[in-house]
Amino acid sequence: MGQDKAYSIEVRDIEVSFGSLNVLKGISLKMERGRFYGILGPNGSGKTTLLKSMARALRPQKGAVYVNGENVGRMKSRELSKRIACLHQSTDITCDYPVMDVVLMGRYPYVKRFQTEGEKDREIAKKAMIASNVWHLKDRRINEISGGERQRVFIARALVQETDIVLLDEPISHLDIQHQIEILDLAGTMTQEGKTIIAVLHDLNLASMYCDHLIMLKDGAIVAQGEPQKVLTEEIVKRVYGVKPFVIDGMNDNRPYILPVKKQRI
Amino acid sequence: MSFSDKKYRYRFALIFGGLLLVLLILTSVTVGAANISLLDTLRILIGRIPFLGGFVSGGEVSRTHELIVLNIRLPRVIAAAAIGIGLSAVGATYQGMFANPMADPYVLGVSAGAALGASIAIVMGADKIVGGFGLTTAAAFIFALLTVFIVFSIAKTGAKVSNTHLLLAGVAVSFFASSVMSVLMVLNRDKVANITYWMMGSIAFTSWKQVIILVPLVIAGTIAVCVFARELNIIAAGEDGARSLGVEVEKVKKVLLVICSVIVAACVAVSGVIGFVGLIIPHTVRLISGSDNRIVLPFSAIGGGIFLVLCDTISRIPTAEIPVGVLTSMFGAPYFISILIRSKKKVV
Repeated sequence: MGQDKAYSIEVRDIEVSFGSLNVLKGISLKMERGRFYGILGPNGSGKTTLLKSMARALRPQKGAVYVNGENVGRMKSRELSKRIACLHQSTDITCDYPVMDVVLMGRYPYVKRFQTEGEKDREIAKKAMIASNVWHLKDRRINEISGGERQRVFIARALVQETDIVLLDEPISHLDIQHQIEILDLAGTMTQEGKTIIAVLHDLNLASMYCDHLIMLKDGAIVAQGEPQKVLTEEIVKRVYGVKPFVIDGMNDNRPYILPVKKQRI
Repeated sequence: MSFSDKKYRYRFALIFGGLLLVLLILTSVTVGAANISLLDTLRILIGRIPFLGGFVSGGEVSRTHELIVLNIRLPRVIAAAAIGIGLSAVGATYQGMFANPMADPYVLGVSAGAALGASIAIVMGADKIVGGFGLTTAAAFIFALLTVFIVFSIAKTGAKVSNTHLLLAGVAVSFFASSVMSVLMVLNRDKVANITYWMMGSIAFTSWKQVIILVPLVIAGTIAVCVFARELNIIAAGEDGARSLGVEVEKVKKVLLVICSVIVAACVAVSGVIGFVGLIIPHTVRLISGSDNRIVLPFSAIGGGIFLVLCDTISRIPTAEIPVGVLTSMFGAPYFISILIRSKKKVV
């Protein structure tokens, strides 16, 4: 099979169904190294399922995902976790580990059984924690810090995995605007270091501001993809979300800005 | 402070705990109905150690006392330590694995399953024949594994196992096993005393034959469980996240469940149902150290050993011996209720 190594991650014709419900209906994507991809779409359009298929958190019934030309479905778990880091939607955390220990968990694929994390691992963790601005929290307990801080800790854990690809499932959904910007800025810096970032996002305008490439899903199929100017048009947004938007051009480096309009006034 | 900053402190504390347990075992051997002094006990014990034996004159110690110490007290105290270690390590593992502080061998039905297997063996007269204990243990093993398998099959959805379903299935299967045991008792009135005493949880009649099966299984199982502490930590911080870190969550859970049911079966075959050890000891450890399983698992094991040896020692003090399972419940239930009340306050 002539898998193309030029792409960081390639999704080839994947189909996923839960019971009789087809969640993904033949999705194909090619993603390049060092870019920021945003997956958009209404609730239930298959965004998270697509991301989970890429992370192998679930196995598609048909099709495959390739990383640098290698089939993800055939990789060993540890091998895969050295290639792809995935930040799942935040759930309630019940454990009380120190933040430093949570970040060090990211070294799991690199540390052999019967060993503990060494000086090198701690150095890597420190660097990641400084980058994601959580170094000052290292001795706090993970259940005592705020939601935004916790999200940054988990990003540090993903950084420590030293992968080329980082998947983020709604990384900013429950955060205030300051933390949203902070996390997307951090993701932007990661792309400058050559990482490929793929994030499921709900906020069209933040996606427009930060992403190099948007993928718009509806009912398990790709409706449009490309740079924000091409995807966030009045016509496409109306078709996908069923809401007539007002699109302002020329904001933030010419990125489109979507203004929803009250339904009665249409 | 992160785990590796304090690694050596924990190692030191663990060695100290181990020594405390050994000391407690030795002291416990001196307690009982027959009045044997500490000095005589030590003489008897040291006399049995090769090379050292020559230095002690064992002349004045009576043969009966020697038999009581070596063949009655020592095996039961060692069994108490091993069972405490095993049940507590299993409880800690379950709690980590299911992210549920109430999980323990009883909730999952493993104990009841093992008990049912052993009861069937007793009813069929296995305890009367030569090598009968081996048969009882084997029956407990088979039924413990069978219970895990049944509970797991009920709880399984696709390749994944949900915690809620697992716990509910465990409770249901546990009730079923207990009811079958009741039927067995009604139908075999002559064996009621045997089964009842054993259901209360007692190690009064433990023999060396049982100890040599029990101890290696518990020690090997406990060490095996501790090896998975890091995986347990990562799973506790989120299963999806654990998978993306390369932890094979389902496989780890399965391996741990098999190891745990081996430990539980070995313990239950010897002592019957001893409750609350697997619940209160890991809880106490967690209150002190936090929930890092690299600390919780080994310290729960040692703590469980210490706790059960203490309970067993106390159970021997009154003239009519109290089954140790009754005692652990008497201490354990109020403690457990106090944990519940405290956690309620935290939520409100």
